[in-house]
Amino acid sequence: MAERDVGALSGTGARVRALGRRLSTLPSVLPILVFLGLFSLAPLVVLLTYSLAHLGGAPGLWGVLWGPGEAAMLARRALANSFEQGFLSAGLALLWGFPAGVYLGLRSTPWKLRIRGFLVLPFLLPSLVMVFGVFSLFGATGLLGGPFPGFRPLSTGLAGILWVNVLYNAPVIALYTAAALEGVPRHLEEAARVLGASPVSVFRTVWLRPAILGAFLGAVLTFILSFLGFAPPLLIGGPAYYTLEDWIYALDKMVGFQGPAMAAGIAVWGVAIMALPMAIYMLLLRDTNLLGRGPGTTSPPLRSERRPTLGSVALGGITGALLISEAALLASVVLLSVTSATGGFSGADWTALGSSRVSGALQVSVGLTVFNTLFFALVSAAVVFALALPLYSSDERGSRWWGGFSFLPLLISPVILALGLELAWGRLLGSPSLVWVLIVVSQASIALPLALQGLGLSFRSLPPSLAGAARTLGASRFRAFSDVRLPLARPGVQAALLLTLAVGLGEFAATNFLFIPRFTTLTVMIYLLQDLRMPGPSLAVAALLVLVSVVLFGVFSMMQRAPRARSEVPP
Amino acid sequence: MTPVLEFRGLTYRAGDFRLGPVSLAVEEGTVVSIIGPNGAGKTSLLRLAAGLERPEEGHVLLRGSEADRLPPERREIGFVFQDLALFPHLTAAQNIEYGLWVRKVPPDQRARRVEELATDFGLASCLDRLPSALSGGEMQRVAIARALAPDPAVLLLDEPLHSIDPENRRHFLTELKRILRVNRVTVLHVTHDLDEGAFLSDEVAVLIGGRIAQQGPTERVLQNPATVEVARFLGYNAWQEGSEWCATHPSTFTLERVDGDPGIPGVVTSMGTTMRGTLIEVKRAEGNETFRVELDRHLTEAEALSTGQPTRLWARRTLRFPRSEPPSG
Repeated sequence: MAERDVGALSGTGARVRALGRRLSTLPSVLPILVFLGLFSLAPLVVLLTYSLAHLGGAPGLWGVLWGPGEAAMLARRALANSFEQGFLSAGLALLWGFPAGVYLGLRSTPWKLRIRGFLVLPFLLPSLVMVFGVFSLFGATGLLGGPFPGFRPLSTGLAGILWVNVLYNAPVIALYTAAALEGVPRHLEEAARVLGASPVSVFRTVWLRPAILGAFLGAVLTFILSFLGFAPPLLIGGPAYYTLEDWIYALDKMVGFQGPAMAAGIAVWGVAIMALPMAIYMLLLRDTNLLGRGPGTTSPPLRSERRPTLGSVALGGITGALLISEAALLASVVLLSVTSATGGFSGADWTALGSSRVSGALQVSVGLTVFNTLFFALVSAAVVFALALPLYSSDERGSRWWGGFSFLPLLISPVILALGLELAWGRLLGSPSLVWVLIVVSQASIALPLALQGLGLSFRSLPPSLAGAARTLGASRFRAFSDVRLPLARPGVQAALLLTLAVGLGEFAATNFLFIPRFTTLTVMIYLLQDLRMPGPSLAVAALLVLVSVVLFGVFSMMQRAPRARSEVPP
Repeated sequence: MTPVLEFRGLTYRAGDFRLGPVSLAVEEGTVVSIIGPNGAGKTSLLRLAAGLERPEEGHVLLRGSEADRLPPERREIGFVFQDLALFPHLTAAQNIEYGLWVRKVPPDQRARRVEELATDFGLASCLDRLPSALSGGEMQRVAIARALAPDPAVLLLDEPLHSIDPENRRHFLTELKRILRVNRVTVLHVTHDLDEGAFLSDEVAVLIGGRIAQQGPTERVLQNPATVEVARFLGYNAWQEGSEWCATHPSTFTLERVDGDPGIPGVVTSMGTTMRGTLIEVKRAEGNETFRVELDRHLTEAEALSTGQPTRLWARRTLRFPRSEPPSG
């Protein structure tokens, strides 16, 4: 072994190499960056320039929300509604979801996995269906509201909106809390107990902080989703409860007025206002250990109790109440859709879906609507995966650096996205035959951050040495990905796929903004039928979506439980 | 003869850590161990050799040709990772076969090679098991067999015995040495375990703080550390004496008087009996150093020491280094 002196390369050479290293990951992230540039960044820029140009520059943009006119006053009321619904929903969902999360995170309960799975179900459904759940349960003809008029106020106004928002989001808070608790090594509790800590001290010392972090993360997400609520205020509350999203939608539909320009201006304000909660959400997501635990990691052993304590009975009761409320809401949609006015079984609402009255009113057949829904969901899922998977096939560090940009669409709500897409690409892709492209792009943009979150969780949980081992054994980068990383990340990939499909199937706000009759989807159909005073068929479509989601969820659960087929090395 | 693997002025940077410049050559059929404390850059060096990291400066040469632009899959390198990196969804046989499969080796040849390695490594009974159903030792053997299956030009071993218990480690170490010798495998091996490095290798390189502090035939390096830094890493006691650093291996200290040598006065701070003999720690009277003394026998009743008792140590062999050598540890 002879030591040899070798002339060092110049500092410039080293810098060029470092730049080269970073750029070497660019091909795998280029598609996603181009997509985001064209369909997230460009619409934002167009929204800003359009509003500045049509509202008279910066003073006009300021005045659209903070000016003295009636329009600005209405916009401020929408903003106040957004804040009110956001804070109240987050607070109430936190009150309900946190104890349920603590219970699920710390206790071993029978059917635990199924309970958790069921809790996710409402989140996979469009909020529109949850709105129908509230109508079906508490409305004047609802299962509870019909016989007991005292329940009816729960289906109207702020109470109805909050019911939807809370039942939609409390499970998310519960699951975030449970996941945060399960990420804490169980031996910390044992160490505290051995050191003499009481159960209360153990909870305070070991569990409370992660539980609060997880719950707070869920609460921030609840705030964001409720602040940007669209369907509940639109259908339950009416104009007095419109959020910014509803107001932007309403303004854009005002013809002959400065509606679109004002909508664009308020959209710019909406993005600016949402930047802070979104940044908090992203920071919390990074700092909690929720992303550090992949589906492949084993859950720590949970406590099962021989004699339940009063505390755990209370927590279990709260969790049970959440589950029952959700089940009741979803079941009421399905039940009411097959119940006649006299209370007996009736398939009239379902058969009406195939009638010429419905297709005539909507200018589209139910069959085509179902086809559109599936087509948009599948194509947008394909787009999302085509963009996202290459990100995880490349060098982890480099791709993570670039991948940070992929969360940009989170900043933009569905209605704002649709408005921006229409303004930026409407002329180019807005011809009737190409509207479907904008719908697919909007659905893909909305699903992309969620899919990336799921995929990142899954791929990051894999030891990096596995791909390295495959490479040194002779596998190309692609082979290392397809033979090793992808099969091992399968549960996470399936979960992300399910989520992406669910977003596509249930997307309402953006699609409703962009659609033309021949591209009607099921969610838009629900809204249109409701608008056309055809509540029966509308309810039947909502029930159909519930059933589709339950089936989709069931298939997914079976796929997750099925033993892994042994991969055969030989071709 | 052209070395199979060579580093020329290799540097690498990851955050605040800087490795190199490192120059090192591994000749055909030799086992070279890089030993060094945790965080010295040993694993980084292996990853650079495998092409899993790119150097900042310098070159990696394989059989005399620059390999800087070669991707890992074209370097003909076998790598046994510290965490073994067995593919959890493939059986032991499929893991071993993987490197042949991606190289499109015909099935009958693959089967023969797997059988051959399974026999060599005593894995015949567990070929159909997934890694999760293998013991630590079996996993270790599968990982090494997998790396050897494509017959790599050089095998990189990253602390290969890291997760084996001491009893099995001794047994496996001798097995591994036999297999490497029989197959004349060229190996670059990294470890922080001196015994493992010394036992397996023909040559060692001591890597401290990202730089190779000494390299050469194993025996020579272990017996003659070139600097006080290396001596410290090799377990020598080091202390200052006038304008020099002195270093003595714990096993060369004795409690028996040496004529003409006043010895080193000190106080016993702790002592205990081990399987090999007696372990004593003595705080030097003139200075802050605490010496570690390894006696290869148990003390008699007459010699018995107790904590706090004054004593004297004599060194059978003391190495001396110029004072310019910076102290450490």
